[in-house]
Amino acid sequence: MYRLDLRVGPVGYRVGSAWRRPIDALRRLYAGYPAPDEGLATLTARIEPEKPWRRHLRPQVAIRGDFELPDAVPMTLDHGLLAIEMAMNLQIALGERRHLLLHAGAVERNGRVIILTGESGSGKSTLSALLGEHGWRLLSDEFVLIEPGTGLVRAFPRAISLKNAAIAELERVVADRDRFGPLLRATPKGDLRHLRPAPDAIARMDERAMPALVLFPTFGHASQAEGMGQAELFALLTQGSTNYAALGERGFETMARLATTVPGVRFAYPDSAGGMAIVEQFAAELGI
Amino acid sequence: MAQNSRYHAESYVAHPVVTTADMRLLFHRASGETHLLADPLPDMLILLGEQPDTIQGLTTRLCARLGVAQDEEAHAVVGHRLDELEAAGLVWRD
Repeated sequence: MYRLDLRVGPVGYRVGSAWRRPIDALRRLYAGYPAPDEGLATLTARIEPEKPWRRHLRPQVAIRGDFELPDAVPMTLDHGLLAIEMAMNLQIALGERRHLLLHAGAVERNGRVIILTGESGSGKSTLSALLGEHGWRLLSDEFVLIEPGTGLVRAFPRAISLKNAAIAELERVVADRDRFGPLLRATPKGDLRHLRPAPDAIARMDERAMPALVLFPTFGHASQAEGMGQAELFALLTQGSTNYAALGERGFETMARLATTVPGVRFAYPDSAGGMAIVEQFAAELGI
Repeated sequence: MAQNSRYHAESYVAHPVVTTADMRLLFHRASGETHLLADPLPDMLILLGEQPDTIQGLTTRLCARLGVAQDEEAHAVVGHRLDELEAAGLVWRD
């Protein structure tokens, strides 16, 4: 088993692979990330052959770890890096208990956080990634971790998973080619390429920050914005949390605090430039 | 039959409750479920937590508490809302 231990924000990962190539790709992608505190990983993620004979013969990759999905479809070894990333996502989605987890992206400026959430395809991940290249610190493009007790957001700057059209958009603005992983064609999610967040996002991954706004973007429509009530915001955020129920009363208190102290707005935007302009407009209104 | 049943609820103050501008968010410790309650559900739970009651008795107390007229419509609304609360596991009958 080939191994890589690394820390992303508060999460210490022990990543393993039965094949060397995906771990080498992961090591390049996560260059500069620290090791887990005191060498102790909190989550284990690994990829293994679906069946023992599938290690060399038309290799098929299965996702394993502390938590597993029994009916997950195995992937080809060419998509091994994606399989490892999915294994790392699965472990955090099902295993994280110290923080309230939102399926969302988040960016920070001047100590205040804008959370971008919504359905897959809403553009939250791409918008978060683009903002991270335009004056904002990327906290996460996929999972936002809220600290119970303080309500602060913990950064979780994993590699950004760029899909289809988002790949070219980020290739246009990120000059450092070393930050990109290999282009993975025709994966179950379409074409896919990972991007290491900007250096400041990694260097400052232990800086917590206070949420200031929750946005629900919808890509591909004329610009429009509409506020929402606190109860609706609460309901939508709980739907987008993978561990709200598991946290019990702690989750309730943390989510209720977020939904009653931070405004929620849904907005539509025609393209990425338009989306970033709207986010900047909201930020200006809040003095961020 | 339901007309004569007495409805019970846990003491309302036992629940963690957060008030928003439009609803109340109630965490039910026994089930781990979160409930979003619109008016008059919180008042109904408060009254039943103080004292179990029939639909008729609760309608009388609720109308007095809210300062509204007690009529057939009020009685029907309370009956429907009790069905919802019972389905949610927040009230039960003896």
